[in-house]
Amino acid sequence: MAKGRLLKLRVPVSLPWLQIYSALMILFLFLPIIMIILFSFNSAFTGMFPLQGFTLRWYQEALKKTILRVAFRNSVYIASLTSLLSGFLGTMAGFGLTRYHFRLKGVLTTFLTIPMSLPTLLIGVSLLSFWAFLSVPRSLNTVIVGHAVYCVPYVVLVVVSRLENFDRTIEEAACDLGAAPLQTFRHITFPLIRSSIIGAMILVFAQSFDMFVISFFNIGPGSTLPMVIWSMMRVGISPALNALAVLIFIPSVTMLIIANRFTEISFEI
Amino acid sequence: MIRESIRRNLNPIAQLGPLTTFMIIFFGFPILVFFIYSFWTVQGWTIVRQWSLGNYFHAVASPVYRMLILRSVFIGLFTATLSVVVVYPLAYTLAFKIRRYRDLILFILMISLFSNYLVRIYAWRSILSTNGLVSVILMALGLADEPNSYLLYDWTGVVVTLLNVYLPFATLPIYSALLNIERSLTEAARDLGASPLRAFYEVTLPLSTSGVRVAFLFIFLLTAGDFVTPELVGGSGGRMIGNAIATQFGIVFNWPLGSAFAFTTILVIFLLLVAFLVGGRLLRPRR
Repeated sequence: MAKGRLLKLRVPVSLPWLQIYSALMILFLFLPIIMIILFSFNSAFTGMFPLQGFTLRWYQEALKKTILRVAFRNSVYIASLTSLLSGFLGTMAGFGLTRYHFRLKGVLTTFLTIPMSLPTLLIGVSLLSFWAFLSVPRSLNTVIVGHAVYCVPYVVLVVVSRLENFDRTIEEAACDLGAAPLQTFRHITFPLIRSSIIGAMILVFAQSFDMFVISFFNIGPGSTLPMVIWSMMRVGISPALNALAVLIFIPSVTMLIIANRFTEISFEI
Repeated sequence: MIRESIRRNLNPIAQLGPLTTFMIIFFGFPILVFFIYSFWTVQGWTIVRQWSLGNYFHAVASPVYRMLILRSVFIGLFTATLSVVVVYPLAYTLAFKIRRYRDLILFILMISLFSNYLVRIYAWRSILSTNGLVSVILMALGLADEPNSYLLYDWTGVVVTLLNVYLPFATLPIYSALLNIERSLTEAARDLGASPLRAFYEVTLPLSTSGVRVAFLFIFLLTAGDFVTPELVGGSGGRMIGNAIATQFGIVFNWPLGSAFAFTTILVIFLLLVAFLVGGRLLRPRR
């Protein structure tokens, strides 16, 4: 360490270019979100510069739309069940993948985690073909299945990475002291990894809540919040849409902050 | 004894069985069904289970669709290359140069990953529009004479938007690959007299290629198959194959043709990746 510092001194002191560059990248990343927030309070009707003045009118207009209430309820229903389903299936599979060694484990891991790296269009449209092929009527439940296919990999990855850092001697100690496997799981293992699972499930909730493409192709009658936003976007630029965007941005960020408290979010792929 | 061994062998099946079954039924089968559809035909408003390769011929022979497929693959490759190049210094800074704010910045990346992506794409429509941010900045810099919707409704606007939307997806794999590099290796290179630039070029960069490869593949697949971005900011000049697929599955109701579009694109991407792999093997210098 001391050596590194000495070496640094020999380099002529200049601006911290890397840090400046990174700050600019973060700014670029946040540009759309900043713009949405800015224009949601701007009194002009169009999203253009110069800004006109402060108003809360667009928020009032956004909250007045009644379709939003039904859509919001559908979104919460879908996200809750997706989260439960993914949490259950993903946790069990996470255990299986870390605690046992078998042939083709790598292939199975890839198969179980690949949907998150595929375009949602492919998942959405192929599932639509599947329902049609079997004449299954589409509904909110068919959407849940689609969301779970896409979201389960997140849970699997979080649980696997938690269990890989798990000190198994604690379990052995419980076993030596006479605990049955199920007792060990209930009183030792589960309480230790619970927060990671909850964190992953909150992430899935947030993901599902924001998901558009899979819902769009697999929903029957009815609509979700992102679908309402989509239909508003197709019509043109509306300032109420900016306000609505900020409003649905709030729960996602809140959930992410909560999830971050429960688990170290990492995506080591 | 026997019961014990049965229970041991049952456990992995009990734990992995449910998700594996779920994925086979709701992910594996659907892709298969989707593929089978591409060989069927549409007569009137019904899908006829009559096998033919006609849809594929249509996808390849029609100049419009051939162009859309090639453009999507090109946009995917271009965005993936650009993302990796643009993001590498950020990931490097995160891994090696910043200690104090690292967690905060990672959390900020996650926030943008989890904020609604429709909304972020929509924001770009306003940023790129006449009198939008890009136009205002270009005028202020004297690079443009009049307000206009530069980049909007063109493939360049699509690339800028895709780059922005998928940026966190590119950063995280490269960052975690860099984080796994043993510091002692670069220090050894420096001790042996390598300049910082040479140590980076000969040690750090080669050791991070796995992360770069994952990031590239991720961005390539996700952007080539995107349809929301071209729909909102692409206009006619930025249309991609995703739009054509979505249209066939929507108002046009020619699912078999849409499916053929998808699998032709997948085939092109697959062949390209194989070519990269073989080319990379042949070009790699032997040491």
